[in-house]
Amino acid sequence: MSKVLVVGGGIAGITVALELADSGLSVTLVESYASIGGRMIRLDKTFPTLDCSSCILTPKMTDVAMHEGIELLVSSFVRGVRREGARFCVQITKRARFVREELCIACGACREACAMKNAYDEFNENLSRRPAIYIPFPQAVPQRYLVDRDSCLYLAKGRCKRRCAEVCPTSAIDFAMEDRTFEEYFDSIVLCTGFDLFDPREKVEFGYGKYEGVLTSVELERLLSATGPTGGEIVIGGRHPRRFLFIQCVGSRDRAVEAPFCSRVCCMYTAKQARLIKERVKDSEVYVCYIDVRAYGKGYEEFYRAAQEEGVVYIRGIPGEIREEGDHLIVRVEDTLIGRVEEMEVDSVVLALGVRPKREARRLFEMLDIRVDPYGFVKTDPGSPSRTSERGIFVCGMASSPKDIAESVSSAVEASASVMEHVGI
Amino acid sequence: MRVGIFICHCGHNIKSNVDVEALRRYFEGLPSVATSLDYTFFCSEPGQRMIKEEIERKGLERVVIAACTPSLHTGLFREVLRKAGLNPYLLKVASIREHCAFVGEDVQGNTEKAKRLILSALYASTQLMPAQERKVDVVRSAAVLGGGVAGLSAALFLGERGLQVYLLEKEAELGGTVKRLKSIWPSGISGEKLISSLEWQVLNHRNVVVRTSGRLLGLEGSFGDYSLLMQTERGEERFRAGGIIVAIGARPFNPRGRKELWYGKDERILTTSDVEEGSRLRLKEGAKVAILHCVGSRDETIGRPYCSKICCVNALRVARMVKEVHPEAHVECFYMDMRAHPKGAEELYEQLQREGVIFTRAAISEVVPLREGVVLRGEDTFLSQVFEKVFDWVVLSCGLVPAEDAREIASLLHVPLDKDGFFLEAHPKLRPLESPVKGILLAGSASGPKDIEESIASGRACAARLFTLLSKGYTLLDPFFAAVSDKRCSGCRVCEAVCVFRAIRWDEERRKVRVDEAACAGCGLCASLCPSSAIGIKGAGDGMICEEVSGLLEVPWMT
Repeated sequence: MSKVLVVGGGIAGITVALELADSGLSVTLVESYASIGGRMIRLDKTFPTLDCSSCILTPKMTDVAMHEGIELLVSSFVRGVRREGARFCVQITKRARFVREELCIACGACREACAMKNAYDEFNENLSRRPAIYIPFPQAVPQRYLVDRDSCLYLAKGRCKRRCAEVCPTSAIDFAMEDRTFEEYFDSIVLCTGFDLFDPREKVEFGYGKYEGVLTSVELERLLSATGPTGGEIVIGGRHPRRFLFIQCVGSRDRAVEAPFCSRVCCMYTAKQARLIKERVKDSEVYVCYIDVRAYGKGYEEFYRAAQEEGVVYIRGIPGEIREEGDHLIVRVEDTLIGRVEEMEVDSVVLALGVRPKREARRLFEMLDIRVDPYGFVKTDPGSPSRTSERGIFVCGMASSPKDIAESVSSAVEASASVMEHVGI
Repeated sequence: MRVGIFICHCGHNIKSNVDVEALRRYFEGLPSVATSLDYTFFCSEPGQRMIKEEIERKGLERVVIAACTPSLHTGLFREVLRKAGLNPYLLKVASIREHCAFVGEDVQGNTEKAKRLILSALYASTQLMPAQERKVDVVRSAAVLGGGVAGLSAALFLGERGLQVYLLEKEAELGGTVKRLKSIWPSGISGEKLISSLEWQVLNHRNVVVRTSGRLLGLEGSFGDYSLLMQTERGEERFRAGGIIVAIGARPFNPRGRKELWYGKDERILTTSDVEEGSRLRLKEGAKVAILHCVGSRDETIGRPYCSKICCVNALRVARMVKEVHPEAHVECFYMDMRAHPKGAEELYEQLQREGVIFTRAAISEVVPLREGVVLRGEDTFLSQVFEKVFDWVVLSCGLVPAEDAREIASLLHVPLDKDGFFLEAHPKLRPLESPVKGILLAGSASGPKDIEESIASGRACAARLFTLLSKGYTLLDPFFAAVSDKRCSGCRVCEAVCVFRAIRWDEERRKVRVDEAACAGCGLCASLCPSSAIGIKGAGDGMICEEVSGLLEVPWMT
């Protein structure tokens, strides 16, 4: 039976893995994080239906874990690849979790016993803290604990009594575990490596990292989420902001940061976040500063209109600077529609970050010798959008260009068609 | 009977508007309830595990899950029951998200309603009987409606995989909209070239039967075995197909409908398609060309509130064409928002700005063709100033509207359209390629405007999905279907008339009806109308309905 390697366990990787496994192929899904779910599982709701992201994604994540045709490797990455005839010999490294997956029952006893409770929780954009032994988020797949080797007092400093191992009822914790590298042969590879977000520190004028009230869109998403650090309440530094200003195209359509391209998702996720704030924060004022509102997909224009009808104020113009005055922020923006410079006083500024090719995947693309565009997205064939420059290697989701969830899903199903053609189903 | 009740918070979706803890406590106290739990997400892995463990530990005989609408996760929860060793059909799902939490913010009222819905499910669950899925054979063939770029891509993929394909095109030749395009952005190849290669492969494929100048007349059967009646050049033909791909495309908005644009009356006013298909645009040196965006899109006044997605790029392409031939020409685009979103489009927009194309954010109020030129009047929404400008040519960038026969085909296939008249997807995010009816898939612009690359991709994706659905040679159907008691059936045929799935067949010899179990969806319409109570749904008899009603009224039926 033909074997397929899927790299990346976000919505695109999950979709293509399930499609291929359903068609009878044997699939190995490699994900670098400790759970699959990718960016989508970090979202509170999705546009334009306002479906809750967890509700629609977690069942698919569980399907991946339960599917007989899928081997799921989390905390893993592709170390090396070489072609052998028509096949690929792939070196995969599985990083040590220090918890034996086959024994862990996710009871959480270790979590309580852990002496280190102050590690940054990367799933929540470092807005909250977690123990060094943890499960990435409540709905993680697989439901297995792992030890963060950087914050674990025993692994990092050799100073801990390892109470976790004592309390574990199944003796699943094993500090002697080591990274394991092995080779496997595949007939085809699908790249679903996703994307990074623009680093807002590059735009100094917006004061990210300097002013507490300046948030990124992903941070806000975690604050809005029921599984987030505040259980869905918008609290910043103990305060409840009431006046919000969104800035769109932060790191997109901007030659100054070498990103002249449009990131395609920010207009809509901003409209979504603006509506959620309107719904959840009493007497809120919400402003959106934009260049063009690109509400291009099905139901998007109507969603954008609904935001305006619910009282979200759209201002055409991107602010030049932000400064802090007391406990609020002053945003200077020229409304190009009325040609007037205004100073607006708000409590929080949200930066709608654009997307970037995944830095972590660059080496993989080089190893596979596939062509990328000047920004670093995988180049594809317009007649077959999942085909890369190399035979047998396909791509879907954000790895080849910015896409929203529905587009990522469609591109993943198309990639499954390409794999079927390649392996001769 | 030991019943387990599981109340889902659905993040904050349910929890914020329904008092889930009060519900849990209330049900804990009822005698037939062996366990009552609440949790953030029962659909997640830990949630599923909780249910499974409770079934095993407490020996539950029936399970009631109070969560989102049953159409979302019933299948998933049935699997949980199966894995716990319980028959998967001993499950009832109460919709306390859509029917309570999403209704409003009155927590007390919502909680009261949720309580009754769960009570209703609890009572009804006692009447559930173990059941088995029905295994039904499927035909390994497919029908593709529409021979444009999406339909051709789909047909070719399926034909190559060995499925028998019937491709129906209403026009006299294949190729659809794309065939008429001189040059496709961004590759620059001609539409004719792209299509002719696909067309040649499809026409010469031993597994693909192509019928042009055809029309769908009727459809019978259900997923796995459809029978399509088609009017073709050879008369009426019938084809059997396991599944159907709808690839009927969309058509450009006809600007003749907006008289004030003078399209069709003045030859200086063209559409982007006119320009692309053959040059009716005769440019002189220093020509002045205006391009109007959003014609027939984002316009409530004509009932087209949606964005057509492709027209901003079409406008940019026309601007590019003009600039290529006449770099000195004055080209001005009048737009609302520049939606240059596909890969490479923003760069094209930037390049045109550098080349001197003027982009004016404006609302055009009037088009006046005069001898010396076409006058555009409008308001520049940047400068808040009214303007009057004269052009030699005005090009309308028109949006897309549903295909003429979309409504007719949707009604023959029994699939819904959305409010704009495009085909509705099963789920806009996670199932964008499927209609709500199993085995009927949506490719290309049938479900909403798409560009060429997306249309090809969706055609191929639909084909892959359908191939997987049909490749096993069988499918499993829920065991809910109508059954007729011959003794009681009087032969009045009321049920036959109301059945939307055409699952009820008349047996002339016996003068009684019978049910095509594969076609029956178990909706129960027949059962509710039968004057002799001769037809009923297996697993949903009168006893269960009475229990459900008594739960809603909060009056225990049996006591």
